[in-house]
Amino acid sequence: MYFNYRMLIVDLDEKEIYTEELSKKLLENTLGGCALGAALQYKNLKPNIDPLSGDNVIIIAPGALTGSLIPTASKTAFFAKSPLTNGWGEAVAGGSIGVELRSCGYEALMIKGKGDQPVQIRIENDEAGIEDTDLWGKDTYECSEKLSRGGFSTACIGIAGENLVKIASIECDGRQTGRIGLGAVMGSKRLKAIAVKGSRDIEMAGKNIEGIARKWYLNLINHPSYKDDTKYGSGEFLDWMNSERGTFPTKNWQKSVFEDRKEIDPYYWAPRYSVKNNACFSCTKPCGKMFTIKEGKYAGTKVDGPEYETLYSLGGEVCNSDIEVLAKANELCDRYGLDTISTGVTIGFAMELYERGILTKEDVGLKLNFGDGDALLEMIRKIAYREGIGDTLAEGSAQAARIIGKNAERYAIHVKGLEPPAYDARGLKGMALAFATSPRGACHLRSGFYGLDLTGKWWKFENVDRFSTEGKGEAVATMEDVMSLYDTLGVCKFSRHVYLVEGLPELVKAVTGLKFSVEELLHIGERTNWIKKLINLKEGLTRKDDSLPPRMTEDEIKEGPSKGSKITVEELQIMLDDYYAARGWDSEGKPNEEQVKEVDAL
Amino acid sequence: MVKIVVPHPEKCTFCRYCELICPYFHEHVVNLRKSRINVIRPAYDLSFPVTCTHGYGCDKECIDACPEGAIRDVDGIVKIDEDLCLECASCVDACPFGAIKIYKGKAWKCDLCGGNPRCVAFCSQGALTYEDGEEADKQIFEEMKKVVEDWRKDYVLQL
Repeated sequence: MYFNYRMLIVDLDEKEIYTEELSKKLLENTLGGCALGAALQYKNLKPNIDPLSGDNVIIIAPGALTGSLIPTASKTAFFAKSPLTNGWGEAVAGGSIGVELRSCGYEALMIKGKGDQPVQIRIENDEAGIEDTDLWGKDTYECSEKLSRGGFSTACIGIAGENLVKIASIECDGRQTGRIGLGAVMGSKRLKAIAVKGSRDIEMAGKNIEGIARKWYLNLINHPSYKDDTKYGSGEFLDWMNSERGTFPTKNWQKSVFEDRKEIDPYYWAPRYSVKNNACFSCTKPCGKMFTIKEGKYAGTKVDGPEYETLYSLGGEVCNSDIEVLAKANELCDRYGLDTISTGVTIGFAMELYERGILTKEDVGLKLNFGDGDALLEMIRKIAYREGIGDTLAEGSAQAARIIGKNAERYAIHVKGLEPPAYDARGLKGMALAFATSPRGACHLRSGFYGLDLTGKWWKFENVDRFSTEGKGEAVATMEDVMSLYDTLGVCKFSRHVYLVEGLPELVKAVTGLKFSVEELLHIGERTNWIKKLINLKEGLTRKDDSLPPRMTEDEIKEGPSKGSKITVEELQIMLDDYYAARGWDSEGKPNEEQVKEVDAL
Repeated sequence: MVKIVVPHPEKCTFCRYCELICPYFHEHVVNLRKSRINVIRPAYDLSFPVTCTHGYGCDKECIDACPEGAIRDVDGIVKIDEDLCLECASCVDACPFGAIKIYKGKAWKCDLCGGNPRCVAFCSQGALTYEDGEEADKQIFEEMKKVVEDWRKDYVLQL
């Protein structure tokens, strides 16, 4: 028996811990991870609550294959209402907390209520407890180092989460659930950390899992992309993104090519600074770099990174061309528990306001020009501690713009409140639609559509024209279903060119014993996207929120291979109509009755 | 010549796949606690695979420590006869590498998978090699002892 038909519930209000049965029907219809979490949030999360109150519910669900032998399958999904977007909240990380939860005999962990003083949760098989913690105030490096002693896997927050910074992340054994501010949700519950260790056998259905694992292991390491992906990490294509596509957002999206990119290109820094590779749990294709600075101003800096998005957010976005400053900024974000994307984009936004005179030196407390490394590092600290202007920026760029006023909103780059990753959607129109429709705000990983726009093909898609709106509605919907499926199974999206959809039924059957066709698996992803949409509708989000910021719709790309391109409001509306139609939703983006019925029946 | 599993921590990514495949090969389950190789992470930038060296870098202290004679040297490979083991854990204390555990009524230790150690077969980074113990860099065993000594009271013995 592979599945554990139960969930552990920790109620911090009542200081009670108990289990709840998860039905066979629910698990066989959702499998785990993203699909399971969405179904549980649909039932358990009341709409219109304050996301930073005890009413918010955190759910942690390992992917269906997490804890099996399938290489890269370690992903564990975290859910709660987002304090940054006030809507659907999910974030996925690759630590080992998922396999440990499954080893304890749980398919999910739910945390409700709020501690009255700082607490940590410790779970060891059937023993679970809410403990006072002496780790409050410690950074994530120290917290996970201390808490993991004894063989525990951990999820913890840093100073930013404690201070309810709305772009705070959760650290999972050196990996992060970066986006949408789940660190602040833990902070609001006064929950510093979760430590899990299990010792139950995980029994898989198939007889020859080693043979299947071997096959996929070899698929991974023999793939043509393996060498560069492991040598240079996810930033491997950074130069190509600039020189060949011109879609590397720079200077708060005022530019799309970063001329001073020489040092932030992994081909420059990996051989000089990376002392070894780092991997997520169970991943035999390590994309992480252990960046180490041995001498000079930033001597002692050690960080697992910077990966591609961070090279943009703490590099191009803020015009920082100094790789040592970038690595230090990355380390600070990780230690404080801050999402590097949202942090960098929010600081880039503040830099533009400063250069336009909307923010002054008196407002900020320092000079805040693009390219000023010291200012970048100081602003990260100010955000984590909510100090001075940092208190405003800690709300994320959308809310900060509203507080600052003076037309600052014109320069805030976000969708639904979430700052975008490193794909200039003006020259990638499918990605533009996908930013708008993503249920958690501007995100590349809900759809992965940048891959199709940038290379013109993936899986069954061919001849994708990145400047065209044609056919994007249906294609984006399909890709969202595929990506939700990966988050349901727990395999790595960075290896999706290896784990092509056709291969997934074999893995699911071998591990769980359940037979699914490709279509049936994709339907799980599709239904999960209905649920995310239904939750957002309940939160009051409308078609108007499936939008793009004015910089993407009004300002065209000024230079490089995508020069002259922008995504007009009209183009977006046409693609949105196509997208809603492809999903079977009405023109307001509301799922139809049959879909609602199917979701209710879960 | 005896071939053993040799760790190369400078290449270890902390993916811990060895800890997944080891119990699967031996017990047909995933259970990190039943792995005969463990990757410990004493510092943010150091992860160290720890397993039995079959006498290289140690004096096979486990053999003398066992009051039941359950641990023997068979053609250079240190083996535990589970039928004779009374779970006294003397070997656990004696092993300088923390490479033996007593857990769920059994002593757990690397048996080299009969000559095709799966941890090595699935280590994509070459952080584990299967090589002649004589040829292995002795310094690695000393480092392993030191790392384990600092760590074992928290980690190895609490499994």
